[in-house]
Amino acid sequence: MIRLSVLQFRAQAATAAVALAVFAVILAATSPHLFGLYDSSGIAACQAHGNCLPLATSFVNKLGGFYTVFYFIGIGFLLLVPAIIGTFWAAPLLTREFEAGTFQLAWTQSVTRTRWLAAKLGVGALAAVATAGLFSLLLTWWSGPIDTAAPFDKGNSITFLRLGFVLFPTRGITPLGYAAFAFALGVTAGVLIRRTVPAMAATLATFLSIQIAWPIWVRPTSSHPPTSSSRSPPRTSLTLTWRSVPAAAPSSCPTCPA
Amino acid sequence: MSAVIQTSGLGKRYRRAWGLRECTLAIPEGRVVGLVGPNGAGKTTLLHMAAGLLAPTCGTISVLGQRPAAGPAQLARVGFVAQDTPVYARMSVADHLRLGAWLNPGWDDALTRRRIGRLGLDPRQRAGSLSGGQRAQLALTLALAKRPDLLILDEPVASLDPLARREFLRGLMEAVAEHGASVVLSSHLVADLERVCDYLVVLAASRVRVAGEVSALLASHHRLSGPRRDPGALPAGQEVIEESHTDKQSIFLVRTDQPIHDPSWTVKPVSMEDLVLGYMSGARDDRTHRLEVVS
Repeated sequence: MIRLSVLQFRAQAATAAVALAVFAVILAATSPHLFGLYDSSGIAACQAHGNCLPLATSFVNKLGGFYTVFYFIGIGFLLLVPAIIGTFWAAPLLTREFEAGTFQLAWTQSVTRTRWLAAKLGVGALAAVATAGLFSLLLTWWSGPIDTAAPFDKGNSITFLRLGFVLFPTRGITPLGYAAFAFALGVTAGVLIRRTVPAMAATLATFLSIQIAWPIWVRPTSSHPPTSSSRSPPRTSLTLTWRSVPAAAPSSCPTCPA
Repeated sequence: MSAVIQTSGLGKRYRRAWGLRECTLAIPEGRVVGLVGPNGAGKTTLLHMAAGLLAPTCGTISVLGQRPAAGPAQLARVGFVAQDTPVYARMSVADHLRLGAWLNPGWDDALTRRRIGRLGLDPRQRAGSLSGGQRAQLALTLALAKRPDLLILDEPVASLDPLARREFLRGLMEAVAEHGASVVLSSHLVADLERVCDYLVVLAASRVRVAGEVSALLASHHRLSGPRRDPGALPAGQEVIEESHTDKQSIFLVRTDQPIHDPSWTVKPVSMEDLVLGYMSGARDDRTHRLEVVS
């Protein structure tokens, strides 16, 4: 059943592979210049001893328009990848089978429906997370120099907070989580709505709203560690004490031979 | 003789109405069963429950002695060809055969190669670009290559032209003769079933109207025509299935196991079509919903 799911996934996998290849080629081709600039800027060494601000400013100024623009394109693209996965991969995953009636073919082979669903969801989710992961890996690597240098110069147009709504969802492992969520959302919309195009629209709309609402209302509550002042005592205190419980008489235990 | 499909008080309720109700049937092994009824009679509902695609609302159904789709072993013994023979439009014919080989432990590869060769299908062709007849043949090939003990076909020829229809039914009968599976196929056209079936189930308005061996059914039903008469005046052993009257004349379709002696009647044998149409129109008039099963 896994082989069939992979076979059915060929077209999407090919699209993803082409997009990844194009992305990788652009990044790889531009990386020598970017990393060369960074190495010669001395930012890596300054963090231990001195003032990085002038070095960072000169590095950012030396970056050509292409690098600044591509930095933004990469961010925008990685914000879209999970939405695309949810809309174009996950939402039609089951609805297409219902619409074309092919579930009747799939469910009457010698494989239970549970395994059919598990294989379809497993292959799809794995592909979604892997694709987002590879895009994120590429972009996180390429953007490294800019991500390191930009924050020294707070007035810069390409300075973003690491936990802000621009960098956090497009670096490291966060895109994997977004892709997994978008996949689950797409499949759920498909199962509830049962028709491909409305399910795709619902997935896209819901995902984008959550992508906008989450950093505004929810993430701030968890992005700062809770702090408390040591000077004022906490208003409420909870005291936990251990009370020792006398051990029950070992009457029921067999006595050990002396 | 054991039953391939056994149902008891089986019913399926959809959101608004019953798709099938109070269906009690025992379909014997080794037959080619025609399930006939008008559109919306519950044929697809019954076959989907037999294939395990739908869960019954009430009653029980067992197929080859087990709950439908109870597990991989039960699924492997039942071949199913759905209405309009859906296939994966973007996958090639060869992909479909690969799919069948992957998903079915009892896959008969030689059979598929023989059939695909005989049908002249190009393995590289996309299933979406096949003609209706070719698509139906591909779906039948997939179902046959499982080597099922029971083959269920839901209106397999409804959308085919007469030639493709004949080809399909011929291929089906050859395969059945070769491998000896029981077959249940539905149609709203009696002519399709007349050629191939030896057992008949008539469904109308969500209920089973009559079920039995074709030869026994034809022998026990007669068309009587004669001077106008009230159906109540017929002898006790003669059950009226359908009646029509003019001012002077009455025509009855009756079912009886006894010979008809009344000399005022002209007695004629019935065809399968007469019988089916009689039960269908009887179902329309009949408010008491008789349920008859002939073994």
